[in-house]
Amino acid sequence: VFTFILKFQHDHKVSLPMEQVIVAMQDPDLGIKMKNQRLLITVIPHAMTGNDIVEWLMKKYSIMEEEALHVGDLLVRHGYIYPLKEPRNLVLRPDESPYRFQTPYFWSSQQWPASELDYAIYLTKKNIRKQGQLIDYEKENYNLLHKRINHTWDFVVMQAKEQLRASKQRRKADRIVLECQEQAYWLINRPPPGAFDIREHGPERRNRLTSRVQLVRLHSFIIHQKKIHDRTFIKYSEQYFSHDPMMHGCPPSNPWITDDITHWALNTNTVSTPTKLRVERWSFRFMELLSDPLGRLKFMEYLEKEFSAENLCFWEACEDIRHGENSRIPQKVQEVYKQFLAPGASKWVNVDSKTMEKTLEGLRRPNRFVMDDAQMHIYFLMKKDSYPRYLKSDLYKNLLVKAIAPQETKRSVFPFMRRHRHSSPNPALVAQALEEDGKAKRLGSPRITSPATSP
Amino acid sequence: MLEHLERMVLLAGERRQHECKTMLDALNRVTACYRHLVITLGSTSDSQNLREELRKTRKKAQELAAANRTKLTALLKDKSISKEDRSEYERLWVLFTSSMELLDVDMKRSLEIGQDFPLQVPTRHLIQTGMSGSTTTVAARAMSVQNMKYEADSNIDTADLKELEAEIAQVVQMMEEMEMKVQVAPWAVEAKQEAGAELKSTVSVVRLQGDNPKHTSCCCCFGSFSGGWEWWCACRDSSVLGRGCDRG
Repeated sequence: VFTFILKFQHDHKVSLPMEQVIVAMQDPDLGIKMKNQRLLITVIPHAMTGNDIVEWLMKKYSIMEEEALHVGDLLVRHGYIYPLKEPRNLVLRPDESPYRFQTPYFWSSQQWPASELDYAIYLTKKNIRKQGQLIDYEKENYNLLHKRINHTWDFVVMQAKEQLRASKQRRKADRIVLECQEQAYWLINRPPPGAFDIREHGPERRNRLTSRVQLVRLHSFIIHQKKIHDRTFIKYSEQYFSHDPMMHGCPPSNPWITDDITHWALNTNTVSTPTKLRVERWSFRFMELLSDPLGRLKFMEYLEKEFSAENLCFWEACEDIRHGENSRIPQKVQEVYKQFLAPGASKWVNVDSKTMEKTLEGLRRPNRFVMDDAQMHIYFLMKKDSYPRYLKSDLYKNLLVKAIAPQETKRSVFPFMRRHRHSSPNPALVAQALEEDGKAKRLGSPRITSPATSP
Repeated sequence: MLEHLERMVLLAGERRQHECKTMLDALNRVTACYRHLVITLGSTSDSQNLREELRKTRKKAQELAAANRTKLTALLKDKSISKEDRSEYERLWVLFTSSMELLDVDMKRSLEIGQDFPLQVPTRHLIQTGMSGSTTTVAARAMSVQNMKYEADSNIDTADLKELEAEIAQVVQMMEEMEMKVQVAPWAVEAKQEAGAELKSTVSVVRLQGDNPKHTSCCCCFGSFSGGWEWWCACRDSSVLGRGCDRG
């Protein structure tokens, strides 16, 4: 499942409803009704009880108490709401226990992971305030950080002191809130040993709040926190399900488990007959086809028949510029221009005038991205035109028919039986032995064993 | 005669270092204040005033960043300085880049949060975080003034965001240039202060329980602020502008 999510997140934007819920709770008419918190002589506004939260969730989303409790608990564990009594106990109690909302700056986000520098500054501030009395794991972390980012430790101390001075400018109530906010943030992002760590269990996060996604039933987002009411994602994961090595295995067997490398041998870039799964994947998305060297090769065969192979050649040449060595860029760019873009070029590609103008302008100062616009134009040309026809072509259909679909080997009956592990030969030694062989053959003399090759 | 010249050179070097440190202290202070302001964004304490404070603090930070960068780059390029001086400037360089790191992230976050929580909408959805006071004194501290003056239009929240985007790009570019032009290996720098050095300070920093505004020792009486920058006493009873605090 994790592979889906990573791949999906790469391609699409995943929305996060928890922030939507928090914002809904702020509504002046329909949100949660806040109370004041009294600390001796200081009064701090905007407190609510665990009960308030649960009841509001039940009412707003028409869900049962159990679900509401679960959702509320998620909100606390991910740091959107923090408890005021027992701050280290990050759970939602459905009673009169007080809670407060966390400020947006301290909402945990994958885009803004908690940095070591910030943590060091926080611990130093705490060290000052508690006059050296840090808790065990915090003391450990402090010492670790002092070693790890020692080069900037002076800054850590400087900044910690200044941040403390700045907070003295606030009124006392605000200072207390600030301290609680910071503490809550770090309890989530650097949890004490043994506590729930969202870095391992957290849902996929997104960056912006402005999505228009409407929550119909909270139920679905609790259970499927990672893949929700987004139809594209569900389709995507269904499509890739049988291709995921973790969910569906890798035929004939997983080399890491059985020591049988057939799976890899069948899927190299130079294999003559690709596997069925691999050929299928080429039909999922154009990028899937292009990122497989064998896919490109077969696609090129098709394009040659259609007399439009220069498009793919151009695309590949642009990729080479983008990912190749800096020093060779000007030379490569010139070659590409001569071969594909110049008037009367042997492999002329059809780029629109606006893009051509822009590209020619960029050629004066070639860099690795100068061909991007033209490459994109040709990419879309192929995607809209050649690619769909390729998938319908006889060439592709033949590939599917001829493709190998290896049988899954039977697993051992007793899964707990120990496999005999044997180490493979040291690749460095193998390479050396081959070299020696080569030398001996050339010199016509018997093989000389060096001390390194003897066992 | 030679001795005299040598002394002059030494003093000049010391003064240069001192100026550098002072400028870095100023940048450090503004960075800390900016952090405070950004934390308030999106909460019920957010206001047009806060947005203006953010903008002014940010501009100040940029001025100081540019000044620091120019000075330090020039010093690090100078081949004539001694080895000890050079390692000190490298240490200062690392302090400078760390400050810029924080500022860069905070600027980006203030853009994001500022956009996510607009102020000029029929229903604001600011988060009720429990903060109720203003941040005007924090901003004033950053600007080294006694009181903040609010001069911006009432639509600064939206107007400023565009500027902010451009400024972030500038900062990013500056940091990239810095990395390329200045050859300092950060891992080679050793901190001057040991773990727990902050506890040995002669200054007693505020404790939250039993906080008495009339407490005896003042946070502003701190050695590094001897460079002629204005600063003011944190004791809330009086704002004393000057080099010393009577309550110290």
